[in-house]
Amino acid sequence: MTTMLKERYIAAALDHVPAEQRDEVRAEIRAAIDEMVDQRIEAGEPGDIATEHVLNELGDPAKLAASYQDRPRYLIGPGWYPAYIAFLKMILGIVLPLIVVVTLLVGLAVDDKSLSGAIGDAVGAVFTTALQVGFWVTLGFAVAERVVGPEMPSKNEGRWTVADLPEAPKARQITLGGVLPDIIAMIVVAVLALLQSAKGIGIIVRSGPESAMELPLINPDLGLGWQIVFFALVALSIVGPIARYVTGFWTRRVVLLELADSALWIAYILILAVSVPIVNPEFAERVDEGATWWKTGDTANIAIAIVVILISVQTAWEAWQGYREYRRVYEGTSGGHLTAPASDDG
Amino acid sequence: MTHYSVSMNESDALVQSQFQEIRRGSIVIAVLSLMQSPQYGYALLEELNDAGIEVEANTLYPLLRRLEKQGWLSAEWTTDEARPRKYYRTSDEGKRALGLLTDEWRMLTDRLMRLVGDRSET
Repeated sequence: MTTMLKERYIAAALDHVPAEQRDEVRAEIRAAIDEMVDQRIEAGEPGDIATEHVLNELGDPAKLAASYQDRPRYLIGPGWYPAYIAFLKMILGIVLPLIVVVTLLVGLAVDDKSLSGAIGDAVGAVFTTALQVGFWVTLGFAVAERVVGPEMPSKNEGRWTVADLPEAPKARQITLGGVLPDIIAMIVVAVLALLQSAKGIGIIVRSGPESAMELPLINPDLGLGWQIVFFALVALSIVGPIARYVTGFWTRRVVLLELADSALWIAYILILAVSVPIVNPEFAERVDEGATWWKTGDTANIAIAIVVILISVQTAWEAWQGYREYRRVYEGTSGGHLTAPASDDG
Repeated sequence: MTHYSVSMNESDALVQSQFQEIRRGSIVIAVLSLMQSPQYGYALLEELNDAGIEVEANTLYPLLRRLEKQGWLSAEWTTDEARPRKYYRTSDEGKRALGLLTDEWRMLTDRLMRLVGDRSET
């Protein structure tokens, strides 16, 4: 009876000890219990009661086993935790949106699913991916902590100095290099569209080995109203980056302008999608004939709509991220050493 | 000035946990000092308690092993008795550490007492 209690206690403790330390810890704990029990028996206690007392005195076997070990009893300690959280946020922020886009596109374009089906797939994919990413990142950090040590290696061999401070905020958030590609791309679109409506220039299509003909890319039946709105949107998409560059920061006004621009483009392309095809039907037909893996009957129009929507969403996302950075880093730091903009929201 | 209201029980618990923090380091000094002659765990525990240094078995045994691993105690299993027993004694390295730790403890106590004394007089 008493031996059973003792052996059960030792077994319970050893459950929490890595195999290679088990023999050693077993000997330690057993010797400790025996010493304590002997002492009590010498003092006149019956053996089984002495054992019970001793085991109660030693307390929770899991805790006792833990105090015999030098391993940390947490997964990720304070030395690694901030980096762990920052890394997890960054990875999820990149991977999850990507997963949504890819699952939606594959579901709609390749697997021919309904919109609701594709959205369901995307939600499921987000869930599993978040779990997977969370698991592997946590495991990675837990292993790193055990291999490298409880303190994360830093630039200055452990001791924090001002050199570890994050980079000072830049004098401006928005650089010329950041906006120039946007402006140039929109100018190219504008010039192409103007040439198209003025001269009917199209894309050379080879219908056979000998014959080639020019087909207008944009639907010639697109009414003047649609064309005017199109050029207005292009103009807005050129004004946006310019205003952004002049302001230098993702202020609220700049962000609202970008969000409006994105929303209008999406609305425009969606309304077109259900009313007038934007692509010349004759041209669209050729595309469908040429399409090998994605025959929807309307591939060219869907492709254009997807591209416009993706670019718009990406722009809106960038604007939102810029605004968050602006709020965090620049707002409320007027004057001083930072070249802060005059706040535009009162 | 902020006034924190803490219930009596809660405040007692805080004092208790602070006590433990103060004691934690002192036990090592006591152990290194008592182990100059070979001892086994339970005898040491009794000796400590007799000396008024309260320590629980489930703290002391793992501590002995840790001190052995870091070289401040040397240990030997004896098999001549009915049951194997582990005898510890303070190693040379442990004696050196004991000297340094005792000096530090004394210095800290002196400074602290001077400081506390100054306060209580004014």
